Amino acid sequence: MPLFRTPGPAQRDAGLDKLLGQVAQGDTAAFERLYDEVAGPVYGLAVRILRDSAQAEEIAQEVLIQVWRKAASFDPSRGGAMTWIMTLAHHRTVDRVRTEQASAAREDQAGRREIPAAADGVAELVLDRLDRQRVRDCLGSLTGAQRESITLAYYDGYTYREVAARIGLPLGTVKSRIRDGLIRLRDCLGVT
Amino acid sequence: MSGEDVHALAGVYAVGALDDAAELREFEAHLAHCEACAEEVRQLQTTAAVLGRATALPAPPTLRARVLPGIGEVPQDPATPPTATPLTVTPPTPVPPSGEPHPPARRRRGLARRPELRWPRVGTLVAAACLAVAVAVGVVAVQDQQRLDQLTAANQAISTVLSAPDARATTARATGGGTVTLVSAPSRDRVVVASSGLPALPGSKTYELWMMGPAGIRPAGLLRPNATGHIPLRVATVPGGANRVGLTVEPAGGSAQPTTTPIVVLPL
Repeated sequence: MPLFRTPGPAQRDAGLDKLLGQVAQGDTAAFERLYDEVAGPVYGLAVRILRDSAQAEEIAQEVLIQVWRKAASFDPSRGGAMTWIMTLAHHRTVDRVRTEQASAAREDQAGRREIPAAADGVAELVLDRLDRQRVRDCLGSLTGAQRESITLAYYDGYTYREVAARIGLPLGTVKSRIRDGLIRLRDCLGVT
Repeated sequence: MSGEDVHALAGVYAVGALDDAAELREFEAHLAHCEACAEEVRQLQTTAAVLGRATALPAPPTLRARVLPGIGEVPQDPATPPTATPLTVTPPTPVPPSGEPHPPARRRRGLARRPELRWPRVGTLVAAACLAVAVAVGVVAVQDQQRLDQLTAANQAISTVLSAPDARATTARATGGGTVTLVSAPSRDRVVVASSGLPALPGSKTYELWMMGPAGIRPAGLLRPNATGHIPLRVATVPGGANRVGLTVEPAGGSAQPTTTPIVVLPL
């Protein structure tokens, strides 16, 4: 029973926190359930950043094994399990895109689209679709410079220096745009 | 850098876009003394994670086969990394256990160690930036390689089979509970058998694998739980002509031919 079907993000995340706690005890069955919840997001983010499904699968494999290995280090007081896992996935994937020729594909397409539509014929869970729409709407509520800075930094893996160079704004301005934009997103998305 | 400037980095930090080790250290030092900042970072990281989750795609079945069957064999790190490095001894530079960079020496002595080590971090960037930017690419490549080596060493055999271009995984439920996954590749003469949730057997019995084919049935090894009760991966050689792998419950020590009905049979 996927946790994604439970009513709200908070309850979902509480379920994931508990699962991750069990994983930390070496519970392989709990890991399998956790896998079912997080493999899609981890893989999807890697595809979004790397734009290469084979490399994305490789990174996702590393990240998921890392989740197993490092589960005991998860500290719920610093954020939910999904945040911990997605932060890990983002860092790993970004490490790769910053060093690989994958960056060539990134050059081509950077900033074009924040969130890919799910592939044709893929049945999205209703809540996934709602999440996606909500994120699109909230990104749409940002100023152009906020949205562009956050998209290039988060979804394309550029450092903020690179972002500043790409969009021709001073470093300090990009810093502020990213922070202000995230604060706005936080409020729009109802993150607490 | 003024306090306001440092504070403005909270967003950049939350989206993993810092690229300067000095700035990262400065920001983390600031975080350690600023509860409001730590809370802001927590919220902004959560926000960034929602952006990440919105990109979810169905994970390919091959990913599942690459991650789940052997996971019980992968050692888990303890909650707190060892920090008791004697100050008088300069330890040899350890290989980072996971491709995670060791923190700069100053921080290894326990000064201002924030629990960020317990969190996924900017990863190789710190180490890379501590060296010349010119070699950053090389450093990262080496760490990627080490990571790969560790995974490979964790199970050389499964790597051999899984790296085959024609590798495929089949999973079936066993009679009596649990699942058995067979990873095979026609281009390899070995298979990997992984199990999950098979009922524990009394000491007088054991699980035994069989290679089955028109030419007969040959024993292919016992599946025995380790000290933690988990059954490790088993690599078995496929004799010519075998087209199925079976698993039976046999008297302890195993049998030369199956004496019970297989609890699972998987095609090769």
